[in-house]
This record gives sequence, C-alpha cells and structure tokens, in this order.
Amino acid sequence: MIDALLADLRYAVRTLRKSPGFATAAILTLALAIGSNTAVFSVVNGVLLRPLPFAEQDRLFMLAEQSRQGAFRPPSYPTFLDWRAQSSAFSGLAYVRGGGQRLAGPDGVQSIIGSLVSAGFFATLGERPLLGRLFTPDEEHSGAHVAVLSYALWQARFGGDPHIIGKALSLSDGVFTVIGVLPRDVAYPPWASEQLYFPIATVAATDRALTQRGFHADCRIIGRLKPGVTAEQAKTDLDGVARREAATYPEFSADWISVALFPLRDEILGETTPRQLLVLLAAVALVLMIGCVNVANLTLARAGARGRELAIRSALGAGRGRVVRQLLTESLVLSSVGAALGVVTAHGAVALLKRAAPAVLPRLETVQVDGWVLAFALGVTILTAVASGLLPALRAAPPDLTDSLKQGTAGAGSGRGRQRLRAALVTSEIALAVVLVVGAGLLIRSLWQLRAVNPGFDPQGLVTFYISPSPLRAQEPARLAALYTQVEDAARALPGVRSVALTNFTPLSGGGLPSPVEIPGRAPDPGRDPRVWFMTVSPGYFRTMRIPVRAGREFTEADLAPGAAIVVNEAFARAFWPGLDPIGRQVTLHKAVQGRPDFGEPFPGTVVGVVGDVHHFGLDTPAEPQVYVPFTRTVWGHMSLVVRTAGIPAGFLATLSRAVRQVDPDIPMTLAGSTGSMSAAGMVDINGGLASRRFDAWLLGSFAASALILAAIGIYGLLAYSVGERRREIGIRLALGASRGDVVSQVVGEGLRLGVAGIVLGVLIALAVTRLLAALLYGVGASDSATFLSVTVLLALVSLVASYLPARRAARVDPMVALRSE
Amino acid sequence: MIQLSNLDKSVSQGNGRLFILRQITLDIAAGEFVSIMGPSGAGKSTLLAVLGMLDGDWTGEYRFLDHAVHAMKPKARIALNKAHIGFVFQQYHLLDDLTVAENLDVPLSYRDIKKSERQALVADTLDRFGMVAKKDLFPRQLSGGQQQLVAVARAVIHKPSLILADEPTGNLHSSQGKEIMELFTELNRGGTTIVQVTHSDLNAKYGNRIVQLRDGWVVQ
Repeated sequence: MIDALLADLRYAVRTLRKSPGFATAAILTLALAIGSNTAVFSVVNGVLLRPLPFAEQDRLFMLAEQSRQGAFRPPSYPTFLDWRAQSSAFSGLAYVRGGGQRLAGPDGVQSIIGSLVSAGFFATLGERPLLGRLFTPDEEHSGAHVAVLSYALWQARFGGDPHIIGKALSLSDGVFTVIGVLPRDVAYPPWASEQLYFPIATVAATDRALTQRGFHADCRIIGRLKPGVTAEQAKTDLDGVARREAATYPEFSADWISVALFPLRDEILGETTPRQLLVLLAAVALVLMIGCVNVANLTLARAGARGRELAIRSALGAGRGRVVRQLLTESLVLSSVGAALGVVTAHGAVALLKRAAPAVLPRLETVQVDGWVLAFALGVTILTAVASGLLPALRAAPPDLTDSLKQGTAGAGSGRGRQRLRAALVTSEIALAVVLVVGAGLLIRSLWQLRAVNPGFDPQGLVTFYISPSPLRAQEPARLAALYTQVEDAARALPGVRSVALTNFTPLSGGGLPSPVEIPGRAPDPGRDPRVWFMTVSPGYFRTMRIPVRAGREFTEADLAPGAAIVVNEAFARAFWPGLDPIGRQVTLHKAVQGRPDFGEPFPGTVVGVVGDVHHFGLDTPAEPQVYVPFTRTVWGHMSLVVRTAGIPAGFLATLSRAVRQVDPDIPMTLAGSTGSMSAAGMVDINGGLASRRFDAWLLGSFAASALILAAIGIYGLLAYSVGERRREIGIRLALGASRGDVVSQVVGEGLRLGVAGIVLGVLIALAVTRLLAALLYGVGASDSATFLSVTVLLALVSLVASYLPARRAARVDPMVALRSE
Repeated sequence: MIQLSNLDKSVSQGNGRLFILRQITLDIAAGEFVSIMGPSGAGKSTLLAVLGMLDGDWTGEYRFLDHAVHAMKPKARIALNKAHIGFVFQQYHLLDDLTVAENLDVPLSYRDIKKSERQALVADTLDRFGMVAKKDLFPRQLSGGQQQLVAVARAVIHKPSLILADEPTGNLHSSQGKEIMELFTELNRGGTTIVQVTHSDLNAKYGNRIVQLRDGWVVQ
C-alpha cells in the first residue's frame, strides 16, 4: 500500500512537471488562497481564540453600576470598598484607577499611564509575571513604593532591559522600585498597552478622588467568581448591595440600583472585534472557495486532455477508485506546494499587518504563525486538495471504457457534461467574487461617506499640544490657570501662529467627561435626557478651532473673572430647548474635576452663546450636547493647547515644545498611550479615528481584488481551453462563412453569459449576506443600489476582458489547419 | 467561373521553401463538375482551400466570377466565399453539439438572412433531403452516410453557385457514397458548379472533367 502511494506520489510529481503552465497557475492560485486564509486565521487565533494571559478567564468579569434607565458607570472607590465588604460571590474583587504619571529620566520628563491597583488586583486577574514578581499582600496594604511594568512599557521605555528589576523610577508620586514585568500580551485595563502599576495604598492618604462617590470615568472593578457561583447569582448578590448604597447615598446613587457583569474577555476584545474578524474570516474563506473552484476547473480541463491516458489505465485494469486516488494525489501535491508558499506569504502578511495597523486590533502585536496556525494551514491544504481534486477526479475516472474512448474522439470540444460542469464552476466563482466585491465596495463607500462628514471644526493647519503640569500645581487652581495662560501667551508669540486657545479635551482625542445638568422649570428625565459633555476652554477657542458661533457671542477675557457665562452647542439647544432661543437661559452644571475639593458642586450658568456641533468622539459618532465654560471656572489638571498656524511651518513642533518648556521645564513632552486620532506629531488628523474602518476596507478590498483576479482567470481559463478544444468547430464555422467578428462575438458571448449568470447569482447571495456587515457600515445601506450597480458593471467588464483574449485567439484559427487536424 | 493563372503556394521549410502548388493554370466554367485527383500530398486539398478562399497565402492570379481574388483583402474574400461557395468535407465536420436542423442553420446564421426566412429554408432543405424525421437528432445519432447527407444539405442550403467537396465519400460505404455522388450529379444538373477532390476513379466518373495533380503540378 505504502509502495503504491509512493508510486502515485512519484508519478504525480512527474506528471505535474510535464505541465509547468498548469502546475504554476494552480500552485499560485492555491498559495494566494491558502496564504490569505492562514494570515487571517493567525489574527483570529492570536486575538480571539488564544486564551488571555489570565487563569480561568471564564470566571473573570468587569463590574459596573447600572441605573434604573439602563445606563452603566464605573463605580467610585468607596463604592468598590462597600461591594467588597458586602459581597460573598467573588474569590477576588479588585479596583484599578488610571491616570497620567510623570516619569523623570535622563531625557527629561515623560508622561506615562500609571494604574493604581487595589490589594489583590493581580491575584484576581490570575496573572503571572514574565520577570521578577508581583506585589505581596504586605506591599499592597502598606503602600510600598514598588512598581510592575507592562511588557509594552518595558520594551518601549526601557528597551527591554533584562536588568530592570530593582531599578528605581522617579514618578509623580515618588520614587518606586521596579519589582516585575508582565508577560507579552494585553495589558489590563485596556486603556493603554504601555502602563505601570503601583499599589493604591501609596496614594490613599492624599488622593481625594479615592474618597469621592459618584461617576469616575477612569477606573475599573474586576471580579473573579468563586468556583460554582454563576454570574447571575453574583449579580443578585451585588444588586442587594447597590440598592442599599442607593438608599444610603441618594445624592450620588439614587438611580444606580443594580450591578452589571461583563465578561472581561469582551471588554478587552471590544464589541466589534469578533464580528470584524469573523467578517474577514468569511471573506477569506470565499477567496479559498474561489481558488478551489479555479483549480478544480483547470484540473477538469486538463482531465479532458488526459482522457486517453486514463482510458488506457482503465483498460490495463485500474479500477475507478485507483484512478481517483492517482488524481487526488496530484491535487494533494499541488495543494502542498501551494500551502508551503502560502505559509511563507502568511508570515510576511502578518508582519505587514502588525506594522501597518498596530492599534486597530487588541493583541495584534502578539499574533504569530504558530503551531495552531500551521495545523490550520495543514487542514486547509487537505480540504483544498479534496475540494479542488475530488470532483475532477470523479468526473475524469472513466466508469466505462468505450464511453471514454468515444469521448476522446468526439472531436468538436470536450464532453457536454464536463463543459457544463466547468461553466457551472466558473459561474459560481463569479458569484462568490460578486459577494466579496460588494462587501468591500460597501465598506469603501462607508469610508468615503465618513470622509465627507464635516467634523464641526477646521483641522487644516491646526496643531495640538498636551500640557500635563506637575500634580502639585493642581492643588492650587489659580497658579495652574496662570501657568496655562503663560503657555498660551508663549505659543501666541511664535512666528506663523494665527491664534491659540486652551481646552480640556480636544475633539477626536477620545477624552470627555459628562456632567449632570439641571434646567430650571424642567424636570429631569434620566431615561431620555442625553449625556452632556463638560468642556472648559479659553477665550478664542471657537475662533481658533473655527467652530461657528450660531447665536450670541463667544467667550471674552472678561469671562475669565468669576461669572456665569456658558456657551452650549446646537445639539444641547435642540435637546433641552427645542424651538426656543437659548440665549439668556439658566443651566446648573456640576463641577466635574475628580480629586478636587469642589468636585460635584453646583455651577450655575447663563447661556451667552450657541456654537456649531462638533463630532467630538469620532466622525461616525453623532454630535452630542456639549456645554463650554471658561477654563478658569474649574481648572483642569491637564489641558490641551490648540494652535492655528499658517500651514504649519517646518520645525514648528520643536519650536512650540521649546517655547512651552521655557515657561515650565517640568511639562512632559509626550503622553503615553493612544491619543485617539491625534497624530504623534500633534497635527490633527481627522481621519485617524477611521483606522479600524480603513483596516477592514483595505483587507476586504484586497480579498475582493484577489477574488476578481481569480474569477477573471477562471473565465479566461475556461474559454481558452474551450477555444483550444474547439479549434475544429471554429474552423468549420469559418469555412461555412463565419467572419472573424462572428467568432469573436460568439466566444465573448459565451463568456458574458457566464458572467451574467454569475453576477445575478452573486447579487442574490450578496443581498442576503451583506446584512451581516450592517454594523460596520456608515451612511450606506447594506443593499446600496449604487454599490451593487457598480459591482455589476465591474464584473461585466472583467468578464468581457477575460473573454476577449481567448476570443481573439479563436478568431485567428486557420480554418484549413483546423479542418485537417483530425 | 474560375480562372487560375500561374498560382504558386509554398511554405517555408528550413532555409528554403516547400512548394505545395506550382504554376497552376486552370479554368473551370460555370456548370462544370470537375474531379481533382492525385496521390496523397499532391496538393489537392490545398487547391480546394485556395479555390474556396479559405487560404489566402499564395501568389499568382485567381479570378472568380470576374472578381480578381488575388487583389482582394481578406474581408472581401470572405464575403465572396459567403455569397457563392459551399463546402463538403470528408469528415462531414458537423457540429456535434447542434441538432441536424441547427447544423443546417449555421451557414444561414452567418449571412444576412431574417430568422423566419432561415427557418423556412431549413424546413425546405430538410424536406428536400428527406431528413424531416431526423431534424432533432444530434450527429452522433446518425450513420456516416446520413451525416454526410446533412453536410451536403448544409453546403447547399444558401444556394451557392459553387460546391467544393473534399473526398466527400471517403468515410462512407460504397452504397452510401453512390447516394452522395448521385446527389452531386443532380445538383450539377440544376446548375451548381462542383469541384471535388477524390481518390476514387468511380466517383471521378460522375464529373465531366478530371484534373490530375502531382507534387503540386497540374499534369493532365
């Protein structure tokens, strides 16, 4: 048996070497199909399938307070302490709060993200260190100045120094000793891949935010369920605690009467990642199917030409099964060579993806072609060999010798059945290509729609600079405000600067803080009232950002003195005073800077102006109500400088940095972690937030392009073989009076008929499946007629071109040579 | 009808040229039934292809119905072929995937003839050749003789003035061959000029003139 298999293998290799054209076409097609599948599977495996670096991750949950109206918020530290004291469902419950830390080094001060963790944080996660150790209970409770680094921070800021353990770091909150480094995977919480952890006890005495109840945007509570306890039981347990909290602290928690548990895995991977990856996996599976159909078609065509060889084999006693095995061995050889090339391609593609789109997917940096991926590639290879080889093998293996001999001498083309089967295969691959191209087309149209969205401000020539002064200054609002004004003045004096302003959160930076709002004479409706975002700005902000003033006025220098002037955006006016003039109306806000003594204090305001809406959280997110107050009214611990320049002069960012440092050399130059859609250089790139959509559109677009090429090869291959086999028929037609044009239109007509059948089938399938894409689309329906029409025209053109080349060859047939060929 | 004068046909071979037809000078009048004979490789089929304007790669002069074929562009030659010539081949050369009726329609489909007219012509021809019952059969369902009958019917359906037949009975039993030859005679009596290539002395006798070819030369 082994000998027979080896003989099959030897013969297969020899046969394929005799048909280098066929073998090359088939191997390249399979390499493309298997390679793209392996690459996408590497990503799916690395991001979705591979377990998180936490023990028994199914028992890990992120916990949030839930209001009567169904809204969620992260709980405050005091709330966390109550939950931990009163709940018995968890074996571990931990709190973490993130914030900017200033890391002093030989190159100056840098901003990094520091995560303050409660006792038992790493134990709850079930995480183990890559280097060193994690916090001991003693360190956690005593507030020892020890720190653990995330892998990314260790790599980026310390060059992966293997001797980092024991080194001292000078941070905002004192000098800390590095005791451990976390493994190379996601860092939790997922607010930054580069972060540093230290015990919350180190700041418990001084950090006022840890004593304030209510909304805290920058914290998380995680819990590990006790064995045998379900999430529902834990929720019931905590709901009781939450109701008691609501009754005890009605000013902070009246509506927050229950607790929601979210699997930690979902929080880390995000809501859209699994869907996004499954769409890509489905798309790439279509490419594989098209590739298989193409190779099956080539093999079928070749089997036609090998009819005599197979008939002789049968005549010599080979059973049907034996012939099928021989042909399948050839398919397996082709698929294996294709797979080997494909895995190399996948390796390159994964490296390219990681470089091109590092921030688009969580865990992307840890994706690699590993054993699981190779096992997947092997599985796909076997599947491909069977899918592309079985049908042709069964069709080619002659059940009846005389039949096959007759077929072999039939003359005018291959057998009708085989021809029909091949036409059906080509039709189906065109249909699959239509589905892919429509999908890619819809994503690309969504991107176009988003690029056309007016962000509400003018990003051209706008530079932003993040100012994060020493936290000591934050304790003295007046001095802090004076510092901001000095920075603003220093920037204004630079050449090329047209105007300068300050804001707590620049649009599209991802930052924002909601504020409770009360309006005299209007009962609050927590179920319907939209969130209102609290913005602090300096006079000239709207002019600098080119946000239009729709009514009233913008802030003046006079508004920096104590007063009540506020500005709202149009979304605010629409939500709270529909059809009314907002100017002069009263609003009560609540001061929202956490950690400050005046946190939550009422803040009465009178509307002096209405400005245009800004897409603050992304071009694909609707503009939400915003209220702007002068920045001196509640001074933020960090601010962003926005500078309008005349076309951003060369070297401007360095000049600006120098100017800021001359005001205060202690202001760090960079902020760790993602700044959303702000480019690293500080220039505003409004399309930066579209990276994930661009990633999807690019990938799906390249799969669609592959599908188009494969479909075109399919049509070309079928017709080219068909023309080759029908030379005699074409000769007869020419002899009977057909012109060259008649022959061209006949062959092109055949190609177009296949094209049209495939397009119709593809459009029907696409109408059914593009609904799955709906969540990834913007401003374009899943059955967008313009996209469907364009794809129809495109595929028709591809069919036309792919048919024209063999048609031209057909028209060049010399009738006499063709007629004599028998 | 046909006047050939000093017609040469050659193909390149190595450094030189291999002559297939040499200095052919031949007149065929309208209404003649000419048989071209000679050993294999004498150039008979090539001469037929030249006469039928399927082969345009030759030198010399060829006049057909007062048209100077030698001066014509390929498109004009095809048009002349379409208008006046019908072909019958030794291997019948029916299209396997088309029925008898569809095969008969092929030459008509390449001429500017309305569909209704084409249908009428096909029906007439089927009737004339006694093939009405077989109109929906495929070539493989017919005997060799029946297939050649369809081929002849196909050659005459557009009423050509010249029929070129390349060994039309070569693959047939003698009785079937006789039937085809009688059909040619009848067509010839009706005014159609016929030029056939044949190896058979018996078939050659159906014609009124024999042209002998040897090594590309007309020897008789």
